[in-house]
Amino acid sequence: MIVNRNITMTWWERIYLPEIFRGISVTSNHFFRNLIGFIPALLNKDKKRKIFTLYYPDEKVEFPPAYRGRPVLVVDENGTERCVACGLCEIVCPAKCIEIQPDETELEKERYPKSFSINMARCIFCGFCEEVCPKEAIVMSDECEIADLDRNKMFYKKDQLLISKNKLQKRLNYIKEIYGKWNY
Amino acid sequence: MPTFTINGKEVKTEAGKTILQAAVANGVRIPHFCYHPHLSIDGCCRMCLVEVEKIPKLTIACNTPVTEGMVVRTNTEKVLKARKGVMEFQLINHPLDCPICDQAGECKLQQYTFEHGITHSRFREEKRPGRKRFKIGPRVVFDEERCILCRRCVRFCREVSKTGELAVFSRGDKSIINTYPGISLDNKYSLNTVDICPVGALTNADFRFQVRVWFLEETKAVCPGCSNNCSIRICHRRGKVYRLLPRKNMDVNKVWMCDNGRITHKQIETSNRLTVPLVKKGNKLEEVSWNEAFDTIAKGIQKIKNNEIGAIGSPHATNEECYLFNKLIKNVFNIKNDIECIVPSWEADDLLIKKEKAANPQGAREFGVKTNDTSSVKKIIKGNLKALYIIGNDIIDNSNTKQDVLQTLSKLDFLVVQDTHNSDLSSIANVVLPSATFAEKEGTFTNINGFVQKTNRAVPCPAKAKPDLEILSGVAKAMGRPFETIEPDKVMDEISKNVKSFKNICYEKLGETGIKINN
Amino acid sequence: MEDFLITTAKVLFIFGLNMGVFAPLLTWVERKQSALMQDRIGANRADILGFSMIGLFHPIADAIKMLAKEDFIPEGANKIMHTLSPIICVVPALLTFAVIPFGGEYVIGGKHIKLVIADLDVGLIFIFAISSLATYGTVIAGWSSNNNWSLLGSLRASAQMISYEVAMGFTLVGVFMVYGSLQLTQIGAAQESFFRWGIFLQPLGFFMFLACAIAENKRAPFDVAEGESEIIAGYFLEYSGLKFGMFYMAEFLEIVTISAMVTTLFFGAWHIPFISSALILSMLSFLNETLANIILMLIHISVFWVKVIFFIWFQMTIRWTLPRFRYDQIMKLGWKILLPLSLANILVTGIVILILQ
Repeated sequence: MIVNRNITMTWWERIYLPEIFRGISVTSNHFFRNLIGFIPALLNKDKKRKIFTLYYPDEKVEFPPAYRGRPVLVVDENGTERCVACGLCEIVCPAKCIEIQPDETELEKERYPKSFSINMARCIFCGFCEEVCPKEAIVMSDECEIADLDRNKMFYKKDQLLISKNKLQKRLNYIKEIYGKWNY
Repeated sequence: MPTFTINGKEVKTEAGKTILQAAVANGVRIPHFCYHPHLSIDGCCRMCLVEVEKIPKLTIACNTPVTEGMVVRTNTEKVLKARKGVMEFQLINHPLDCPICDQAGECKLQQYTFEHGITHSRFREEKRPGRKRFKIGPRVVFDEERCILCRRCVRFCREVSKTGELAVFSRGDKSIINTYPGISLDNKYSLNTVDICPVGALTNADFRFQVRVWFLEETKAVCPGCSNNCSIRICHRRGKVYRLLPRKNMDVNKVWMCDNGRITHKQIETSNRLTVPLVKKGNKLEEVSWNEAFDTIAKGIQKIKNNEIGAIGSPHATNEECYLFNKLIKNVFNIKNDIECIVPSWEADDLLIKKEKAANPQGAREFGVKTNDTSSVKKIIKGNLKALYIIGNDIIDNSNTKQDVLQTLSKLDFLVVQDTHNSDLSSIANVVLPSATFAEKEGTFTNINGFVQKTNRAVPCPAKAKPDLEILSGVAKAMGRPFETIEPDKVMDEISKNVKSFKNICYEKLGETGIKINN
Repeated sequence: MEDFLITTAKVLFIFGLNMGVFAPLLTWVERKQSALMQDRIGANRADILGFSMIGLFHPIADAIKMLAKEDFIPEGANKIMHTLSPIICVVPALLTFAVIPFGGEYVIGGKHIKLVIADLDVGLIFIFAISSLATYGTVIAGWSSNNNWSLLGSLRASAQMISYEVAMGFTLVGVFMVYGSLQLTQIGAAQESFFRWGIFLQPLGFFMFLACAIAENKRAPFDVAEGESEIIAGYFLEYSGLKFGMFYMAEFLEIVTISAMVTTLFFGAWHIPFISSALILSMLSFLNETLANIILMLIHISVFWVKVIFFIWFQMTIRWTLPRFRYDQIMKLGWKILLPLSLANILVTGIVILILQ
């Protein structure tokens, strides 16, 4: 099908050949820059290549704090989760992947999640659970390698979700900054 | 009939009504904490302040009677500002407990805070400390910090349950709700205080932390606890019942419900529920398919002479089930013997609890079932009865006679037990048919005063269990004479044609609160 | 006997270079070059004992894979034709090299050796004759597969190839008008002076020939013969294993052929700009004649292949730079632009030659 796109080209563009060379100059520019950058990497002299795509499984990038990986539960200094099983994440979750069974505890917080499971096969990493959480107990970590061949293994139980506060400090600071300014 | 103006709208109201009552009757919402339509007026929360012309200051709507020509405004800037002030005072000592508070989602304080947009506290001092998780009664947990001192619970105990355990102690900002020394909040209606508590100060120990209220679905049903048949809401989620709440029905239970009624849902999920049909093969009950169970019954019944078959009905069955059981016995089995049933009883009181501890003994009587009749047991002893079809296990309810009855029943050639739970009775039966509890079936109940109310299906039956109507029709079909219909509303149409006292009953007319039968 | 040995050596050299080095290496080059152009890494996963050798083992892995794959012939296909067509595709690509000189004439041991396998008088015509055969391979492949998409792909491919063959033929008329010969060795020898290179005498001809040659080879931007969204792999859709590999090999060999032809016809063949053979020989005059000639020959061979490699790179760059044409645009370009232009080129060349005489 011929679509008339109403593009008017100059005579220079219409003779096509110069435009081909312009295109080739762009691509070959990339080619030679990368070719020269390729040599030190080839000789194992410079591990940090600025122009290359990452060798993903061998090298890993450090995500910025704004990155939303799999949601995890924050474990406080006293060794228990911050979560009080208020159920806000469960109701706000658009994919309905969170399931919480609350129960009473002797701790000061009274309530705790007896079971807390996230169906990572359903999770869409929207971060609503993190935003709605009144206790900063569920945050998005920087873990993204969660693919599995078995659906049942994608059903993350509470012990798989618990991650200590120190590891999540960066994200905790970030959400304090970003959600704090909305003044809930 | 005084005529008055509310928010620019001229309305008529009954004499002696307060502004709040008249406003509610005319669809105007006035926020309030302490006012409750079925309790006396206290006027202590000051939330319902409204502006009335010719009254210099704002006045509380709950305790100001309407007079002729009164002009009331409920949404002026002055009123809103006052309300906001009241809210700010209420929130001074109220902890930020919403994430752990069970009332969250149905909390008046939360609702009004949200509506009035109070996001910041100007209160810089320490909040008043108080007892958390204090068991004020066996079934009620009290959180002093959350209490806003509306005194609804105090008035309830004094006026409705007439037990008066609660009172407000101390003065000023030290005021606290507590029981009188030496007693606890332990009356038969104590959980109503949880219902009427506008905040999460009083919580149900049983329901506490089980599930968030916003996940619960509500199904309108009828309490099966006693023959008063209080209107209830079944709160359930994902096929599990979490709590029962009273439903407004001025003819039957007003807005109250007894504590015993609230735990009737516990029978639904117990380990001894019958979930599959069982047939005795040799000396053991074995799991079979429904069709096999029905065929076994048909064969067993056909072997025995008509006058040697007896039937014991259940006072817990719905009207429709009673009718179809009657039909099964009289028309399908062709038995002349009367259907009888045993109704368990307990101590009645003059508020809600009635003597007969079963949902539908009155309905059973309407269908010709003889209550509290054990003539069939006597007949077995004489050897006149060889087969028995029993619904429920009330026959062994009385612990004094239980062993004798069981011994007598074990002499029978053929015993069919249709029941919800495993019991000594079902273990001696030839055929056991698992049936549905009140929350798993649809139907109507007739209470002791003749009010017919509809109850709805909230949760599915466990495993292979079936509602009784389906079981009865299965038996009839296996006998070769199937029923025309087993849809509860169609069965009720049939009942109203055939049973005189149910002439005016049909599902469309029942509504949510039910109607009375003609006696 | 000596002649036979020399010819055998030349054949083995060309055959070995093409089949052993270029065909497998170009699969790697194409992957790696496209990767570098697109800021990617490219093939690097195949390794032997942990040494991935920047992906150089991938051609080996490919070869193993293709050998191990099931050789599938679809039901209802013409088995003989189905088997024959990949061979018909590969053979012409190799055969054209017979007349392409990869060096000049050298006196070694008192014997004149021409670095060309068969120095035909009608070298160019031979190339046309042979390369047209590849069209048959395409058509037969599409037809014999008994598959709608294969047939459509082969129809597109053959229509395109025939269209461009006409224009390509006319563009080269200009070349042998200028050099007055169809013999590729003579054309090559005539370009010893830098300013006698074909690119300067026939600039329009060079571009048109390159365009036509790429279209002949059915590579991007003229790759409508295949298209994942419409006709899948086109005419070789129903091929698997080594037969599939042969189509690929034919394509890569044709790249080499085109590059060699462009080098011979337009880019001074084996000559180094401004440095004539005589100059080199005079610089090597301290050696005896045979040795000097051998060194000269090696220099010329490497110069020739460097030029070829440059054009291979250039074709790859074009393939990964330009978006594909629409089918009607291809036809328009072939019949309405290149054909008239090539005719005009012949006219102008003829007039200029007449004037210069």
